Amino acid sequence: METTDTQNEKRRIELLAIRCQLGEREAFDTLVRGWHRPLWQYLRGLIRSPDAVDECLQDAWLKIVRSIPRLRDPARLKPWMFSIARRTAMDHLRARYREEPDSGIDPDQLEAAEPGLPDDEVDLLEVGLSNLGRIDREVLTLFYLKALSIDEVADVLDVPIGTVKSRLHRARQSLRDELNKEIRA
Amino acid sequence: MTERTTQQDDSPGLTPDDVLQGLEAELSPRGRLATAGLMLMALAVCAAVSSLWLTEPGLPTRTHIGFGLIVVTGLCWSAYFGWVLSRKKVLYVNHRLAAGKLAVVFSSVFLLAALALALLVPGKAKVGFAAAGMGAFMLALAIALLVRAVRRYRALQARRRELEAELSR
Repeated sequence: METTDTQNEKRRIELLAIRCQLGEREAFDTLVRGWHRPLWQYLRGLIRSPDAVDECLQDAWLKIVRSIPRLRDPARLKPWMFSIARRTAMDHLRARYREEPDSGIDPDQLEAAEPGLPDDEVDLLEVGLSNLGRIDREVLTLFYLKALSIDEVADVLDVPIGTVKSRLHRARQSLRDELNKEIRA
Repeated sequence: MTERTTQQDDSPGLTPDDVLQGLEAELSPRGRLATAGLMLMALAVCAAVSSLWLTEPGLPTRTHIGFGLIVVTGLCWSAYFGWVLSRKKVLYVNHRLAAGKLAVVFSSVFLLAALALALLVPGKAKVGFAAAGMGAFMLALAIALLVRAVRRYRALQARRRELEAELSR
């Protein structure tokens, strides 16, 4: 069940998207100022080089500003922006690396979970995330740090919901292992 | 935002102000409306030259080639400006409204000028009516674009009012 705060947050995001589609300059200022750091953090989790992250970030903003009139459902602004950032990062990575293979973990093994984390657990997650592979880091960042729902994460990654669940399951196991290693060390 | 804040030592090399500065040209309506105006002018030149070309009798081959080149060049420029507007300088809804109005005014003036030429200048009826036919086509297209923009504008504004009312409760 969504709280009133969550519903109002969704309304504010949709309203912002509508104002941008109308072409209000102040709305773009609000959009860039509000989402600059979350998008940067997301890209930072995908790309190691800080210079490349900044380049991709600028490129992603350009694509967002150019494509926002074509966004069909303004309520999907948040996953839509992350999916553009992701595509930009993938274009960058594709030029340099081969794609990592996907895992075949059973999606049903994933326990029921809510997006986001209590604030006191965010720091702990960050420690473990830095040692994970790109795919694990990406899915955990979107689900726990960016508080996207599973279907929104699926939108961003452009994969089926089942794949998101299996990636989350695998990523959580990897994270648990990483955190145990940290504790033992 | 309900976004979780994270404590990281590093931070973006670009600030939001840097990004906004880089997007300045993208967000300015001036470039978009200028592109829309140039597209209209290119189309008007094509329409005027085509009218002359199709209605003037006994033109030498060189003149046919000349008219043909002008029309093809005008159409290429129109297509290029159309591509720029659909990919590079995408029109936001407010800009689409302004561009639609501009197109309606521009094609109306063209149509009226062509009709005046046809009705008031002796011996120019043929070329005038041919240009008026093209002007009428351009006007119909402009009205269709404007109606589409108005519908989209109204739909977005209605949803905006709904959201603002829900948020103010």
